[in-house]
Amino acid sequence: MDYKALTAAMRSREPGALERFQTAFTPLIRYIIAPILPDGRDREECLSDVVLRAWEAIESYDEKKASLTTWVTALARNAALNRRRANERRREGDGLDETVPDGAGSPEQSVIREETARALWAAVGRLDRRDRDMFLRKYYYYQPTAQIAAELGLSLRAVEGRLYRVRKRLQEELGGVYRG
Amino acid sequence: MSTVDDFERMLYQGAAQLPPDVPAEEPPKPWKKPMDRVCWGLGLITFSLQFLHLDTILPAVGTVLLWLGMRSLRRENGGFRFAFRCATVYTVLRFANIILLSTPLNKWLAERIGGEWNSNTGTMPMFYVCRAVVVQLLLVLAVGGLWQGLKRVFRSAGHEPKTGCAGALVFLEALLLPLALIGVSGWLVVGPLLLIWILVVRNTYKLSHVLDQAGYALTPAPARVSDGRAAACWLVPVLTAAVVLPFCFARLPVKAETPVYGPSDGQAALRSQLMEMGFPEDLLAGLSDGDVSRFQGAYGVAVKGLDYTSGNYPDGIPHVVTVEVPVRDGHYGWRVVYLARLTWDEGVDYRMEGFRLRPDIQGVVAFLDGPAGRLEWEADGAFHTAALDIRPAGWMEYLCDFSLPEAEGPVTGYVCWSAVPTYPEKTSVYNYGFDFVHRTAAWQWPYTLPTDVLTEGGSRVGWRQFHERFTGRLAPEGLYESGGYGDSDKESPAH
Repeated sequence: MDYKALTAAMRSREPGALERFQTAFTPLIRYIIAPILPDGRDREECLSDVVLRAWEAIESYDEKKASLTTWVTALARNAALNRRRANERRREGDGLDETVPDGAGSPEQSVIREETARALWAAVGRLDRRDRDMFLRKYYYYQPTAQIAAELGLSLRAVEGRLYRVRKRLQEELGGVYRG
Repeated sequence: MSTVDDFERMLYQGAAQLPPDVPAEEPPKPWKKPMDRVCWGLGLITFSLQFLHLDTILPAVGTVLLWLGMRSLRRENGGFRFAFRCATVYTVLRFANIILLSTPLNKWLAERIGGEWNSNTGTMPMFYVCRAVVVQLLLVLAVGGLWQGLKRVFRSAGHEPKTGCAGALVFLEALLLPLALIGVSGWLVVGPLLLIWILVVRNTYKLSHVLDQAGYALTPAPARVSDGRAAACWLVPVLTAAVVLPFCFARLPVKAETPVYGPSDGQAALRSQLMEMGFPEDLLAGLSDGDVSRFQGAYGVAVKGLDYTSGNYPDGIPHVVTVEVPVRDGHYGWRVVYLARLTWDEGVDYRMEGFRLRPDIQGVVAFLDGPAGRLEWEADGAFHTAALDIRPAGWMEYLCDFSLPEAEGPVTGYVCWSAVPTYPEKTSVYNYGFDFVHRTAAWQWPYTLPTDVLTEGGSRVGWRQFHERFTGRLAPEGLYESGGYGDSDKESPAH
């Protein structure tokens, strides 16, 4: 599919552009949000949200910065995480999932978080391609270890071992920042 | 996820923060890796480069890539599952094939099964042909399973299947089978086919992009063994077998015997008669009474190839002396007995030797008694002999494969046969030749017998060949002249 033409069609609100976008990206969006949102109904709602958000925010998409696929991926992931966070907040009594980042906090906390995130991404950038891919799958896309193993053609133990080594390396590099 | 430690929680939070530089990162593409592997695997299997043993190494890598690709897809649907099973059997057969090619088993099975297949490019044992057909059929079935699997992926996503290229791939792989059986060669046919094949595989390779819109996710197929380890578990034994096994079969067995000779004065009269006629004394001294009795009724002697001391023989090629002795014969009236003495210098590398004995087509038609021969040598202070297994191979042509024993001194071989002309009342020319081949390489793959090199023709790396031609004479008593053709009519075109 010609993504340039699709982007242009969406921007000019051509009839049928939304359907074309859905045909092209629904499988990808489902793939991205599935590991983050375990509930099927949540996923369907999130899918609709993402499609709508893409349709509305297409003007803000900059082709020079990223491909349409990457942009939609980031959109889907963020939407799914927000939904999950919202769900957790609704169920506050049950306790929050500690893997889900909390957006709230004081401005000071926010600055610290940004600093640590920058340091983390710099360290992730120094990982080799395979380790970085594994890190992103695990901590950015929230993919379960079994899925990572199957898609990368590795055994569960091999993925766990490699993730352990990645964590250890990051811990060594970020010791000062990430000491809790 | 509630059990995650503090650091892991921070990783999740950190990864969710900021922008990261993710824009540069494409999302994971589950179809890409398996489809890449399948396409590369098919490419490496189908096209072979005939140098540096790449025709073995690349298909071995291709086989494991194909298997790994199919392994990742196997949980998606029945088509892929079938393709995976075919790829597994294909992988096992390929491994068995490597073992067969590295050992004498291949030839042994071909001889046991028998039969030949004639194609435009030559004759092949039926066993080789059947094996190639089974292996290629499995590949066709595997690609067929891939095609059906891809179709189902599109259908289950509610899309019209765009898998024509995979279908074309099945057709092309199936087409290779009859083409190979017929022995089609030449760039006029192979060139366009190659081009079409590359285009089809390229389109199949691109299919993974289209598959992203037909489900994107792939049903995870857990693996007990990681891809790298699985590939190593297959490639290491395969390559080890191909490297190590030829060393184990670098020699042919030598069935040594210690002969017990009786008193050697039984043929004293015949020996002195032969010597009077010009039979070389040193050669005669090496013959047993049984050998000498073949020359009973001799009425002439001609010796050829006496310049063996000139020292210009290449390593591993024997010095040759042949003696032609016409003898009276109760059945045909007369016949000519030939004796060839082959002497290998001490210190040649003891690997494999072979020779072919055949009449020169310029000579007359002569009937031969099948040649018989033996090797003689001394080792550990004892005298040993071993019979040479000389086998017929076509019209009046004989082949022999053997290995020289590790001896203290030179090894001597004797080959004896007799010739009777079609018209015994006339004098006729009987030209004959020895083609020798000596294996110089310590490692040779696939397993090859010396006489295979001779019968295939042409020079070959790791083998030295040498051809000797002799002019013989078949003549009844009274017409035979020992020196009629001289003693130096040997030609030795070395390769």
